Amino acid sequence: MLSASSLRLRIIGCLLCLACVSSGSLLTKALGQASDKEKLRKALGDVELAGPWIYDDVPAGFALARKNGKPLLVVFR
Amino acid sequence: MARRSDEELAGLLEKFVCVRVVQSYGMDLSLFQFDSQLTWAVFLLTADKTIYGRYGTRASGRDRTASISLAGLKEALRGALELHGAYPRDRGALAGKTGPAPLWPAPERIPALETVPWWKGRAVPADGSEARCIHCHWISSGEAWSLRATRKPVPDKLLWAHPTPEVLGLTLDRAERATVAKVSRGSEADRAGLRTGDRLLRLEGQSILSIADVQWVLHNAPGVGSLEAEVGRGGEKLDVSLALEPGWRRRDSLKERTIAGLAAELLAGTGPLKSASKERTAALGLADGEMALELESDWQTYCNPSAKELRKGDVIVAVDGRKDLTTEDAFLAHFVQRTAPGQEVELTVLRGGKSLSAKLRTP
Repeated sequence: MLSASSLRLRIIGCLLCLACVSSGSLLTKALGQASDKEKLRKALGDVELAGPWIYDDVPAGFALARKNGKPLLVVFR
Repeated sequence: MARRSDEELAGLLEKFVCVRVVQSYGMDLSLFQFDSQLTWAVFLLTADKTIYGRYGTRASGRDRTASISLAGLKEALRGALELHGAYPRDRGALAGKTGPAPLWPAPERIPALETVPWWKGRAVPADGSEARCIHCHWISSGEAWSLRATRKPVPDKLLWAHPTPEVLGLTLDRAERATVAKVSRGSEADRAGLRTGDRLLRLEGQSILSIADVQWVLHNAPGVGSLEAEVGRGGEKLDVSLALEPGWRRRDSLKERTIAGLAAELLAGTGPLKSASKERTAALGLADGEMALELESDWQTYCNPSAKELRKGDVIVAVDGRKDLTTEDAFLAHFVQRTAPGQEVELTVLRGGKSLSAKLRTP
């Protein structure tokens, strides 16, 4: 059974990823970086990407932020 | 139980470019300076690398997530969006959120991570294009180890990094940006006049979006001095000054940081220690408050081999004649900050009613 702290971390981590499902964006693949990072994600046994999250590519994040004027949220997890 | 989707959070996240980083190889340490012990940490920043704020705090005690919440995260996101709306008008006020030049520019450049077998042997091939997967929590301990290896001082700031506000007697509400939930009586926060319900609007001129932002200011605060805060109370703004007294930083716990484990195993070789009970110290003929650190386990094969004669239950009462290392934190910090590679260290140990001398050689 999960401890309260483990459950809370999982909930926050999952909600950050799943919260973007409703937007339906395919931005990560459009950037053409899915194959390299897909290898990384699978090597780490990581969760499926959902929504517009950029996976382990900070420069791509900055490039997109310069283009669309949005601020960045960078999660280290 | 939380819902599997959160439309409010989704709506906030849509206003950001969201990036998830899963390992620290290649991390720009001139930009991303945070409590690397965290398993989950957030930066909110602009495309030109101006930081709006940080989010993520590791609470002490059994529940490590007691200082974070979805509500608090949403507040931090809202705060960042407010700052973004005004940017670059307040750009100068955000300068303090970027740290000084790092000791090394990226984790893979930290010498210890390339030379110490404990780290080197744990490299995990990632996607084949990078040979290493560097865990964030290796960063600060790797830096401390690297400084010690070259006989350079290891500052308290590196060991007691990103102190929690509790060290000044301040407990903040995790569901808010930086709202005071509790003030400990007699603490610096109490003497400064802070009260439950106060909102920390700015600290040392920096806008505060989260508990992590307060920790960032504390992380860069001097050993002695004061911190100037702008506080919101009942619709009014007040200026408050928090005194920083000698040793304030060391009130935070070192025990659960990676460097503490490495010091206990690789440097001292003792493994985890605990303060001997009052009954035990009395039985040993020690006065209340005297140094009496008890080994919680026998020597393990992964520990400093020169410590292999140590036993569970041994009580350490002095290190090279020093009897003032009365806590595990002080003992471990001594090994990191006051011993050099290849140095002989003498422990005075009580076992079975006898005083023994254990000579270690630190790596």
